[in-house]
Amino acid sequence: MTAGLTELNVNGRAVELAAESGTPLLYVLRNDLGLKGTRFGCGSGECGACMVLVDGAAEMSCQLPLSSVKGKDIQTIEGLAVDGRLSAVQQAVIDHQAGQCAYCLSGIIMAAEALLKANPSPSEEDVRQGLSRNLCRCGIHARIIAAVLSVAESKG
Amino acid sequence: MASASSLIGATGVSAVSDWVGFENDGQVRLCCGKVELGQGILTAIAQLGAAVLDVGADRIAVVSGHTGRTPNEGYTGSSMSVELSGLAVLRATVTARRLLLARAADLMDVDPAALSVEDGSISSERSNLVFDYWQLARSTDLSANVDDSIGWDSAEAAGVPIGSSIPRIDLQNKICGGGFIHDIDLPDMLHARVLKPPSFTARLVSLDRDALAERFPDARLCIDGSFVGIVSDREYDAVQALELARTLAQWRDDAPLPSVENWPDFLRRQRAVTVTSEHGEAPAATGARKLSATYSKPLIAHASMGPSCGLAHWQDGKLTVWSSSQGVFNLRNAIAQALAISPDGVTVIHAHGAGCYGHNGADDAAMEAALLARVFSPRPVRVQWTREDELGWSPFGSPMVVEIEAEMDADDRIANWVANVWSGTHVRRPGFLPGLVDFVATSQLATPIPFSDPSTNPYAFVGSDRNAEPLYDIAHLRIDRHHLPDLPFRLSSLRALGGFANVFALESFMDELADAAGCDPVEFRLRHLSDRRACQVIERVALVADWQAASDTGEGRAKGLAFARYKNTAAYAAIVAEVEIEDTIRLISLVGAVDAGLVINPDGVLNQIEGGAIQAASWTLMEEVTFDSRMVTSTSWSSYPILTFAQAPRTHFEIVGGSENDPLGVGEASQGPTAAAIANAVARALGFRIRDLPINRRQLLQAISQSSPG
Repeated sequence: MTAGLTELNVNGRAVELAAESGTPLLYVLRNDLGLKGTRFGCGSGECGACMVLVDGAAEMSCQLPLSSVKGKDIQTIEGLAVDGRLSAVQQAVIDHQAGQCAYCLSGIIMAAEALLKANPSPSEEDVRQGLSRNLCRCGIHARIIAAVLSVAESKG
Repeated sequence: MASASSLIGATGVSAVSDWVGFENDGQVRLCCGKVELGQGILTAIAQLGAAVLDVGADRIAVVSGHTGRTPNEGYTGSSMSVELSGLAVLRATVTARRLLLARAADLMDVDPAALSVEDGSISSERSNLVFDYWQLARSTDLSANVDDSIGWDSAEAAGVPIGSSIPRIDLQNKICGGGFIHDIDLPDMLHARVLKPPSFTARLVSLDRDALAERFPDARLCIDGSFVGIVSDREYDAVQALELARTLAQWRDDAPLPSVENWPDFLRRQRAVTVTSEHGEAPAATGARKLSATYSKPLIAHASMGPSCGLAHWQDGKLTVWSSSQGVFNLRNAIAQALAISPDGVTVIHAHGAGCYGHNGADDAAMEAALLARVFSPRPVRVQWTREDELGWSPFGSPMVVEIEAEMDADDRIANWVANVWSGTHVRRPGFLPGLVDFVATSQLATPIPFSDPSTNPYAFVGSDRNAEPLYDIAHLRIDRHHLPDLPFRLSSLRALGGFANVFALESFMDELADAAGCDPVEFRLRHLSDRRACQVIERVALVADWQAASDTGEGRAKGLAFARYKNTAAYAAIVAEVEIEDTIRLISLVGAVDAGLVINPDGVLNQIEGGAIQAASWTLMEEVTFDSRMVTSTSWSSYPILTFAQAPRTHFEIVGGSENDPLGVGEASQGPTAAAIANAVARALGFRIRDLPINRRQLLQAISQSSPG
């Protein structure tokens, strides 16, 4: 485990990190970069709360050692809004009030962003499958599915 | 002795300024002792205050759950927040408005009735003068007492346009990267992990500190008896040091956990303290139709999405604690007692956690942080529980067994209802009463404070009476509640408390009675209800869910209905579940109707009812804590699976009833009815009934092998 610098791109900004190369990206984002929106849910890749986009694909940041994302483009929940304007998925979550405790939502929103990028017109079944790695305990599932489908419909 | 209501609501006379303030121009300070759990209470409070005062909702700055700054409203729980905190805020804001308008009337030389208010600006057709609240507040004595004769029927309450939904005031922040206790960064903060023992009663024998220090020279240890805390400047160091420490620790196990073949046999054998309630006269023996059945519910977990987190800072003899506890004042008292210091020296500040659904690990994480903060003062300490901690060490919802026996008369009306309920405790919260400490960490110290005996807390078993008595019109009711104080698991409050199992049982049994009477389940319930509001929610859900009076059973796909008024005093909820059974039980849809009386934020109500129903569906279809002779074994998401996006039902929920009735709590109203609706749907689809939760594939196969269809 070396302590050299790791270069990557986070939310459009080039960063150099001195953290140990085996440190999971989750802790690097939260502690070294102060980006708290990526959440700790289990640390074992089973809940999706820590999902971020790595070169556009939704990945669990708790499972990614820093060395594995060297040179990659990382997008977190903080990187979605542009000039203060929420992304379509974020806005749909607000419009549908698709949140209770909201702890699961960062990960779910990142998964939805990746889903819609790969499949701009998903069916309800596609959305359920696209969120298959994300858990929610408060029971917001139906509202989230409706919110994501509404984004697909407005674009289609 | 504290009354039950004082545990949940503010008591005594208070000043308007305790609740409302205009210190910052253009902003209204609104204080509230209740806390945000994800249920939207702060939004409802803000909306209510804004409506009463006639100011834009965005002017309201809510301060909640702060032992130094807000009233003490006890615990946020029991679905009482709108009923109690809403009423307190109503009274305070109405009193404030009256005082300020009286001042304006004085200055403008008009009658207060001639004043109109728009976004905090007061004017009158009979005067050229205009004032705003902030100007008036400077010369108005807001330390006057809140008028507690004000009710929901007051003129100010009647006139306000509540019943429209403002968006959740905290949601946008939480989907843009902020908002949780887990995100608090204090200067010079230490990251901590606490090594939990391998069983509930294990004692630490040794820990190889040298081996730990060699691999993690920057990590520091605090060992006090069996309490092991690890701190480091860097969080991932603490994470890794914890895992190494786990392998370096030697423990001595104490009492093994029992083997439980099935909950009915196990619970009935335990030492019990029985409380009986009885209404009406037992009917003379009539030879009328008798029916009996036994239902059970296992241990279930809170399974919060965000493992508990607590922070503490000890400096100059004062302790500040950040916690997502449901009861910050109670927590303060318990921490102070544990540390043998005055509560005046402790401040507890609520910060939003992930959904906790009752008493989870939040209070424990706070206590652990406080212990470590004292050791490592002046540095603040942040304790983060692991997923295994959260699923293994948070208190569980008690296993329960409910046995019901009923008699119907010649008109197929229930004449006699006798129920036996076996349950462990539903509340063992730190600081619930003076003297009750009840933290994991303090039970492990070299000088331990052992967990309290549930028998010593008069409220410990109150939860098992929730909905033990059906709301139905029945001439004779007898309920025997068998309280079990010796169960070797950590049990405490989980959403709906005993109401979940009690409603699952009684509403399943109502269907069994309806079947025996050859009567449609909807019609059978209506026959026994003189409560008009109860009838209304049942009729509404049956209509919306397209309930068919005559439907075939045993066809593999069916609907089931259930109803309850939570605690027989809170909101009314009726649910219809539709299931399809092939090789698994698939929940197709949940339809619900709720009567919550006067509703401040309708969308908030619907969100809570729907969320509670989906959560209860997960409990009903999937959930049970597993354990071996040593410890809980369901400590990961793969060993404690919950409902997924693939499995989530389609939903439709509606609010019925008008605002002429007082507000009723909705947070726990859909849990019990959802369980029974699913059980009733499964029974119709299969042609036989499963009475032991969870209704999963294993139960399905077991029931098939034990019974014959039709």
